[in-house]
Amino acid sequence: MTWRLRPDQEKVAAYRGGYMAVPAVPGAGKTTVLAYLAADLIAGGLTEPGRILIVTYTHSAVGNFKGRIGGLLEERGLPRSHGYEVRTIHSLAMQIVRERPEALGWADDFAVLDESRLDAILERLTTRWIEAHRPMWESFIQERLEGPWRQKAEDQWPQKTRELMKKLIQALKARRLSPAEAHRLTRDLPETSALRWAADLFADYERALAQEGAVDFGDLVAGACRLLEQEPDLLERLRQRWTYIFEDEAQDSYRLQEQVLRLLAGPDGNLVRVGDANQAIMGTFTSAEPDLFRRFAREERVALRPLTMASRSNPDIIDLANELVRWCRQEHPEVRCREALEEQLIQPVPPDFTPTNPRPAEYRIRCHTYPTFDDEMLSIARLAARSVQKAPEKSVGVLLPTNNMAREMAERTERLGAQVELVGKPAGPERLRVAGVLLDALDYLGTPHDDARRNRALERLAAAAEDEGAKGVGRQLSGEALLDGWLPHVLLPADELLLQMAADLGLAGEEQAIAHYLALLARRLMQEEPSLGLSEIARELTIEAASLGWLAEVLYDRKGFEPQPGVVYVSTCHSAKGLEWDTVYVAALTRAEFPAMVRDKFRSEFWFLTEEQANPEALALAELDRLTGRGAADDLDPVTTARLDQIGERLRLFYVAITRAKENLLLSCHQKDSWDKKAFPTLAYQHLKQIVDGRR
Amino acid sequence: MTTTLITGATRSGKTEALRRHYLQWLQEGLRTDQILILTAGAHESAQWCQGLALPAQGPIEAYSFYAFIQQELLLHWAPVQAAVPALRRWLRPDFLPPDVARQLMRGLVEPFAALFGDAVKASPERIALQLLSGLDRVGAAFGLEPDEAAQRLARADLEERAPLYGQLALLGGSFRQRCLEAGMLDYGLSLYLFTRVLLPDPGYRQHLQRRFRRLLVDDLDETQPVEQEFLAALAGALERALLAYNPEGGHARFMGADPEAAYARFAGADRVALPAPERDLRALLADAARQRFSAELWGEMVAWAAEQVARLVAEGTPPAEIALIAPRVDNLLAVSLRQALAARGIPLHSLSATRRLLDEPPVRSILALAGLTNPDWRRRWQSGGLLAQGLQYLLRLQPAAASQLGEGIRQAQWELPAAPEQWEPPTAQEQWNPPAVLAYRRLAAWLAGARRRTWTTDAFAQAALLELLLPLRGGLTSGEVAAVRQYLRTLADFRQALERFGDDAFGPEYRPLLTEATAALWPEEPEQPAVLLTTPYGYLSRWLTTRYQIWLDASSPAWLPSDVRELFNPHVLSPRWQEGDRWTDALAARTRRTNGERLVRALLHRCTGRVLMAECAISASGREQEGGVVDLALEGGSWL
Repeated sequence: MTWRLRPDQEKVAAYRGGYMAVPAVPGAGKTTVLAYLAADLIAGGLTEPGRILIVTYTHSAVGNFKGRIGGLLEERGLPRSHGYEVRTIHSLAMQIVRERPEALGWADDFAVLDESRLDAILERLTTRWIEAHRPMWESFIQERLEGPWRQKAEDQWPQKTRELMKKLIQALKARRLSPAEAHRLTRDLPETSALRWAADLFADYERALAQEGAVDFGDLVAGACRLLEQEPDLLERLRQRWTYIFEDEAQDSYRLQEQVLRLLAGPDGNLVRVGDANQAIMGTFTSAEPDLFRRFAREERVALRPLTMASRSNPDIIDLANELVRWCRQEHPEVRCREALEEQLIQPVPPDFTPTNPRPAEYRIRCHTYPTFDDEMLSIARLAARSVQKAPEKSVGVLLPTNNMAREMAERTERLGAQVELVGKPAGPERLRVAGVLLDALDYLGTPHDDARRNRALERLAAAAEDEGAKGVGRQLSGEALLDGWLPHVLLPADELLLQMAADLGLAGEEQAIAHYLALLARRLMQEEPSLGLSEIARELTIEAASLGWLAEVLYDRKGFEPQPGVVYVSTCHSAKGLEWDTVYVAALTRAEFPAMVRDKFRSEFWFLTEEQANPEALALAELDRLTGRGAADDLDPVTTARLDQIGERLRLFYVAITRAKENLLLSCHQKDSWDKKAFPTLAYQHLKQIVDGRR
Repeated sequence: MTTTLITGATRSGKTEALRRHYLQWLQEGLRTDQILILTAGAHESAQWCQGLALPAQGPIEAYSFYAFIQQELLLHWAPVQAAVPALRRWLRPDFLPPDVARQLMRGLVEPFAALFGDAVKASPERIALQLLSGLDRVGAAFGLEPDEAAQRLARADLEERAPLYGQLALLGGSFRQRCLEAGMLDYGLSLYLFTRVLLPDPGYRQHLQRRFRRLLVDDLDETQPVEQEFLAALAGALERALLAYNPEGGHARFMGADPEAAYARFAGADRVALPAPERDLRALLADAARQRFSAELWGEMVAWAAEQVARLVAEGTPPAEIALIAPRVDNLLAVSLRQALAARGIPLHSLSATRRLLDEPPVRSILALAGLTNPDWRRRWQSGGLLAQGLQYLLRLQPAAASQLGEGIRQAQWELPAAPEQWEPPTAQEQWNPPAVLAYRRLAAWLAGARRRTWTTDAFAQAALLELLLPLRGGLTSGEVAAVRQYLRTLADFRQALERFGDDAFGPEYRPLLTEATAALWPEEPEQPAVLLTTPYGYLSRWLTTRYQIWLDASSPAWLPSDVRELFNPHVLSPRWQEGDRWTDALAARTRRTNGERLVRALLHRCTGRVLMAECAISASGREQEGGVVDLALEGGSWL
């Protein structure tokens, strides 16, 4: 070891058993100290006869943990992969369920349906439901809307209904309700209750999945939990296998996840949970409940070992993050949001410990408000590109609030000649580009008299050949030669033709794995509907490929993620969690993206619905909480509660974004949005700008 | 009345010992038709019939148990009819092929599939399969009727799933009743009629005793309880019985094999124990574990396997002495390996059916013609792709011309355009060379006649093949011939079942000619020695032995099967299962472990050279995997 543990880390590393909570500030080195602790327990033989199970949030975090622990074990002369397993919660649930799928009534080769397939099922069911309830369903749309606005509302409402049903069905599943229980629970609700609609659809949805012999992602963790509860022998066997359970990012845990981990650890077992309530940013997308971790930390039997020192950022950035916490807790004008950030201040590392905090000679934080969104995007792209040119040894991250903005920023920065990499979800389509190449070619081969399809396939092949990222694709041969070479093979079944194409393109590694997966999907489609031709299979697969982000993560992130110098990484603020860069740009800090007051506009609310129904999800979830005895203690209406929750979550998102920076930080926003409408800086940004401008 | 049990491990010479006795008995003056030989499968029976230099001529009475039953029911149908009134209207029994039985069961299940949906995530097809292969087949193997089997399954499972088994019993009973009424017997019903109706008939028993003097049984460990009961009764009635038993066998437990029960039933027999062949199995396994290849991605593992095969062949190993063994063999694996090996000039032969009949172009041509002939035969076709591809093959068209023709036909409401060779643009016309134009005219003429006739599905396919496909295409490749032959047989099987069971028997999902074309395409024997690709069970059930085995996907949990499905558990139907016990995780884990050990041990016995092992961290379907047979191998093989 070239470093020694800090006092706060030492307390964590001294752990030998029982329950322990580790609240850790950003940059505290929790991966490092957990890896150290794991290696220590393994080397000391304390995990025998089992192993340590580490559950973390993303595939790249899995890779990072494996790399760290493997390295530490190797230093001690032990095999790199000895004594531990690192998994995401879904891969853990998959592993548990695969022990006894039949006990859940699942096939041994059960499929987890991709989002596109789920969406197709839900669309079919929702459309049928809407037809049966049209007058009542339409009454949700504001009567005053007329002409094109009315049309727009009627166009959007079916899709929003489907998305709403999807979320609510997952919420029912997360509360472990069966379709029959959900129906019983909601049958007395008024027919205008979206929760009742969801309960109506739930049974049909489950049966549709059953007919395909499939489950959804929500079923996986619920299934694992049910199996552990109903099969005590299995639980005991798994407790023997995993003698220590570590959970990373515990603030993003949800009830079922916590239940699975508690069951696996057992009341007298070993459970370590590491998290930071101030970085709880997944509530909007998942059923994450940061309160679970807080409550765990307060339990009597749980040893509390906070990690409060962090070496990641320079002290000015730490001060700024701490100021955000202080301002939120003491001065936020929306008083009901002052608990959004906990009083957990970051401390720099004492000077005699390594790694130390970066200590630049000058103040390296700036805030800038641009006239327009376009100006902001262009300027940040230029700054980022220039930054890697001037200091190629440094890493650069550009963080934005949405996927679309991230993609746009990546394109702009790339056009300036910089090497750009998208991070997280927005990177999915980039990584799956080879699927588009193969499927457009397959589409053409199914209808080879169609010149438009040929041209599209050729364009794809040419773009892939030019793209540095798509290694191997079309390098050897011209697109024309490739397509003409494949034409004699069009009588092959689609899966075999795809494999032939992949071989001719010389695909390897992750791209070859994507081709293999497409071949499997093609065979499944052919079995489901034997009359499909190549073009129809290509079109179906193109729809499915759009939701294969999970596959891209599994394939590409398995070795972990370490930003490389000289590259501009563009990410959403969400996807940036757990990452760090020397220079960080956080853009678009407007109230549209980071609402700060209850009166602001919220994306979760639909502009075209009546005021009382503008946020049907919030209403339905509150109803569900009430019916299942989890109702909130306050008297607030559900819509206001949802708004307050979102304000809080966006504050934490801002905090996460700031704390990604090691040396340099630029915060920015704009005064006019891309529709040329007036935009306002979010309140937290305004406050921090005053502080920063005062220091400069 | 002497019964001898020859016991010995794999490759200890049990079958050889049986053969020596057989030849000796013939030299003593017995006729071949006085000796009944029962084996574990058709392949083994064929080896008895073809592989012996006999001192005397005569019919060799070597059968698998099912083949024997089928023959006996055909020969002795009258006493069966006398006992089962429902069968009196049928002059002879017919036997349901598995594909037909599955489609019939699916037709029965579909209206009730939703009832299963709340408790079981299984497609109607999968439910039908479990009903047939489980409740019907294995239930019969254990001497249980469908409702008895369902009750036992229910008692061993969770209480809340009990209603499901009631539904299963109803479906199973209904299926059996319909088979009885149609005079078409599936495996379970055949077994039932033989063991419960024919065998108890004193006249038949006397006949058997007169007909046979000696009995030879190979692979007693793979027999089922009802078969064992028959064997014990027959052995007791004949002069001499010799039975070969492998204490490490029983690979077909998931189909009802019960080696322990077999051993117990012949506990009083004379014993001859053959020594196990000298082989250090632990060292063999340890070497495989130590040298194993660990890949991250599935494709890397396949590439490595192909390299190993190429190396071994380059070193002089005959391809047929190399077996690639994977727990699941699908078309992705078969095609990926075939491609990688073909690039090195090495042929691959998959023992598993990974393709459908429909994947062969001549079958698609027959389907295209069917669609053009009869609107009902193109019902719910989702595209013109099938039509275009079928015509491309039939008329030897360029792909673009075929695609344009297919589209033109669909636009013309399935009428053939008068002169496609004159279509615009001129580039399209160039693709219609004179032979293609002639072929097209011949097609048009044939179709005009075909549309005026009333066809059965199989008669149509035969006519399309003989009158159009063969004349236009000339010779077919051996693979194409095999596919067409299987297709014609399947069509005839389905047609016969429809005649017996009624037009709606296959349910609304049945699409004439197309459904039959989705049946598995069973690979033909290769024309030249080829590397084998198979599952562990496929390898063992054919009693193969090779110099090299390459175990693929070694970390897949499928290497350790529990045999238990969501609606069926063969273990709780065994006579040795204690009524009232619950199937627990401890039992499941032990079963998986025992099954894995048994597979590994048997595979090692059947390897004369080395075992190579490869694993991948991420499967082809993008799932993480670890453990599998790797864990067993890493333990050091103390259980071997």
